[in-house]
Amino acid sequence: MSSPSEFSKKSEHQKVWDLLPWFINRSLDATEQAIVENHIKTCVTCRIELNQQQQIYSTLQQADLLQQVSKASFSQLKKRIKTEPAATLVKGQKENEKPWKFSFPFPNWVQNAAFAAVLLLLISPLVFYSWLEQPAIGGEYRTLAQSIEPGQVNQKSKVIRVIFADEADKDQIKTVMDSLAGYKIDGPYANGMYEVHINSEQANAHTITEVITQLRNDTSVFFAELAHEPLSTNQAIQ
Amino acid sequence: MAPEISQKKNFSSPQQLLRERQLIIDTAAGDEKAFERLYQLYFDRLYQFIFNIVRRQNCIEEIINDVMYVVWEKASTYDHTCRPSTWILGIAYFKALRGIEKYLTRDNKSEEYSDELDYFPDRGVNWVSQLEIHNWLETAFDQLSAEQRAVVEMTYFQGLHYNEIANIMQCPENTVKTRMFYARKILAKSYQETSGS
Repeated sequence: MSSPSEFSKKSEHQKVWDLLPWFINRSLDATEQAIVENHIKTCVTCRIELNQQQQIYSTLQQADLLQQVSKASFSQLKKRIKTEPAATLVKGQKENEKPWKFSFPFPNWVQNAAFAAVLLLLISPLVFYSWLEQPAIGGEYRTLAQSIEPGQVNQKSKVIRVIFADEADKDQIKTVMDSLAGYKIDGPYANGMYEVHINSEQANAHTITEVITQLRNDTSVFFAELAHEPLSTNQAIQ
Repeated sequence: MAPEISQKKNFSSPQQLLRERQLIIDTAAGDEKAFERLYQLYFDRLYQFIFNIVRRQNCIEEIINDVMYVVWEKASTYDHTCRPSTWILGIAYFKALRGIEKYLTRDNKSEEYSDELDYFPDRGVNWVSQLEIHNWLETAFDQLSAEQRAVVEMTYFQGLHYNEIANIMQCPENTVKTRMFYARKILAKSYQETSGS
C-alpha cells in the first residue's frame, strides 16, 4: 500500500505528465507553470518526456501545410488505386492502347473467346494436315478442318471454302474457279471467302481431298478447306 | 525551466483579440467588408485546423464556408465571454466532425475509457536531428482518431490551453488530457519509427 507521500508524488507526476503539452505551448497559468517547473527539476521521466514532446512540437511547427495536404491527398489516391485496380487497368487500356474497336466494355469471356478463335485460326492448317493422314476422329464433335470418311459424302460435304491471295487478280481467280468441276455458291464475303460446290456425282471424300490439295498447291490460293455448313445458308460471316 | 521554443504563430495577442472582437461586432451589424476581413483572417487557420481533423483536402473549403456561414448568421449571439477563436474553432470542430461522418468511414480509435495509463515514455529512444517530417506526421496523424487529432491541432498548432480545448470540444478537461495522452504516445512512436531508431 502506498504511503500518503508516495501517493502524492505519484499524483503530482501524473498531473505534470498530463500538463506537459500545455507547458510546451506556454498556455498554462502561472500556478500550473510553477508546478511543472518544480517537478521536472527532480523527475527524470518527465524531463525525458518533455524533451521528446518538445522535439515533436518543433517538428510539427516546421511542417508545411501544403506539403501535408499533398501527402494526405496522395495517400487518398493510393488507397483508391489499391481498392480499384481492375477499373484502373481497364481505363488505362482504353486510353493508352485502345485494343478494342468498340467503346463498350467487353467481359473477360469475350476477350478469351476472341483469343481462342485467333489461336485456332493460326494452328488450324497444321492440325488439318495431320488429321488428313489419320483415321477419322470419332465422337459427335467436328471441326472446320476435320476430314470425312468415304461414304460420308453428302451435299454439304461437297462444298469447299476458298480464299484467294491478295495479289490474285480476277483472271487468276476465274482460271482457278473454272478448273474446278463445280460452281460458285456464294462469295466473295467480306473476308474474301468463296464457297464452291463440287459437281461430280461420283465425288467422294478422296476426290474432294484431292481438289483441296490442288487448290492449296496453287500460289494464288491462300486458304482452302471443306465446308460442313454452307455460309450462304446461315450467314455466319458478313 | 521553460522550454526554449518560440511559437510559430501568435493567435492570442491583445491587439489580435481586440481586432477579432470588433470584426465580429461589425459582422453582427451586417458589415460585409468586416465579415470578409474576418473570413480572410481565419481562412488559413481554419484550413489547417479542419485539415488536421478530417485529413483530406477536398472537403475543407466547403466546411470552412459552412463554419463562416454560421459565423455570419450567429455573429450577434457571440457573447464575448470566450475568445473569438474559441467560438469560431468550436463551430469548426463540430462542422469538421460532421464532415468526417459525411466523407469518411473511419474507426474511432479513441481510448478515453481505459483505466490503466502508462505514465512513462517509450524506452530505447534514439533521436536523430534530421527527419522526414511529413512522412512521420502523415503516418502518425492517420493513426489518431479525429478527436485526438483535434486536441493535438489545438494544442501544438493553435496554442490553446486545455480548458479552452475542452470548451471547444464540449467535453471535460480530463477527456482532453486523456486524448492528448494517447496522441502523444502515437506521435512519439511514429516519430521514432520514421527516424529509424
